[in-house]
Amino acid sequence: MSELIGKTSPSNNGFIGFFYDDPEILPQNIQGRFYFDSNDQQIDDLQAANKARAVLEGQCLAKRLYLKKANVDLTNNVDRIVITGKIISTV
Amino acid sequence: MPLIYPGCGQQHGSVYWKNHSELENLKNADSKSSSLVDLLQSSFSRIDCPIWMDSSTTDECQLIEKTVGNAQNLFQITGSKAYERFTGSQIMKIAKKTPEVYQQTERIQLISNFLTSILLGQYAPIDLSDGSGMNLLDIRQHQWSKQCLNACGNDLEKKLSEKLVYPRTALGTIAKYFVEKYGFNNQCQIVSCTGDNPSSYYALASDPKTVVISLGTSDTVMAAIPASAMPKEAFDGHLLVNPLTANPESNLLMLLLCFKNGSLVRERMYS
Repeated sequence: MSELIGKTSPSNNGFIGFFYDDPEILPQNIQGRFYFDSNDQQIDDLQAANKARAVLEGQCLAKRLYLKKANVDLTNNVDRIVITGKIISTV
Repeated sequence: MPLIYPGCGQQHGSVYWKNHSELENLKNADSKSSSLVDLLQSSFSRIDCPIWMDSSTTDECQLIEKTVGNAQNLFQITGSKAYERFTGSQIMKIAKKTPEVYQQTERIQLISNFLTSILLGQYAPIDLSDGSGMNLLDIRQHQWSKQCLNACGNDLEKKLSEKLVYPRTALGTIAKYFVEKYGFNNQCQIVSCTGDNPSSYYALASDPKTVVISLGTSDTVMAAIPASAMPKEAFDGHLLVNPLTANPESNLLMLLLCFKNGSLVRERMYS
């Protein structure tokens, strides 16, 4: 997984992915996978390396977007982010 | 040294007491030979209790939103739009579908203050952070919203108790039952229990400048915002009284966001 992500650089050459395999809550009632290129054009699929990074970056961007929506000032009012849990289950 | 016994319970679930005389018996030493189940067997007006997994109250949710105007207004008062699992709509359903049960109910508690009550041997008040998961609490005024209460049931304020406590309030010493039966120190102080989500946040965020992210099947994000910065537009997240808040002056809210597509998506991608 790290190897695949390592083949692309941060911001993924503008490729973005939304991965709603189950009906999502944020945003509500949307399901499916959606991909966009650097011109904001929707495309059918991403190459494996871009897709791997798109999951990571897409999930981070979603969290950032909703924090911003809720008026959390990440620049001035957040000193640290504590992360717990599991990236992937080991079952 | 006085010991402190804190705890937490799943948010939203509710417990229906018929009377508190058996509960108060836990303060007597002679109760220790019996189990709690036996001691409290005629205390409740309802044996099965609704928990967060129930989603049968869509009609009740619409009624609550209608009472205050719309979803936007309900969000401004209670920090959330109406949700089926939230306690207000669950209480309304019980009051409407089984009025005799509702009538017989002396006290309605959340799972967290139910636990506190058992440990104390007397009714404990609802904690403001856990109380924020009911669609009934004015999260900026730190008191019940009368409008929401009236929409959900007659005399509901009496049944919930007017009294609310700030998170982490010490409420008294442990009931004698636990001292005699399990050897607790009789000076052990019982601190108000809270909901599972505010409890995880409090454990990991030592100050309001920490954002907590929990990765799992669903990913959750928790953060602090001042009540004065409460977003104007409703969204599908939740705002609660922040458990870092200990008095009326520190008016801090806790943001709770839940993203359903978490580790399962990552697993499919990376395994």
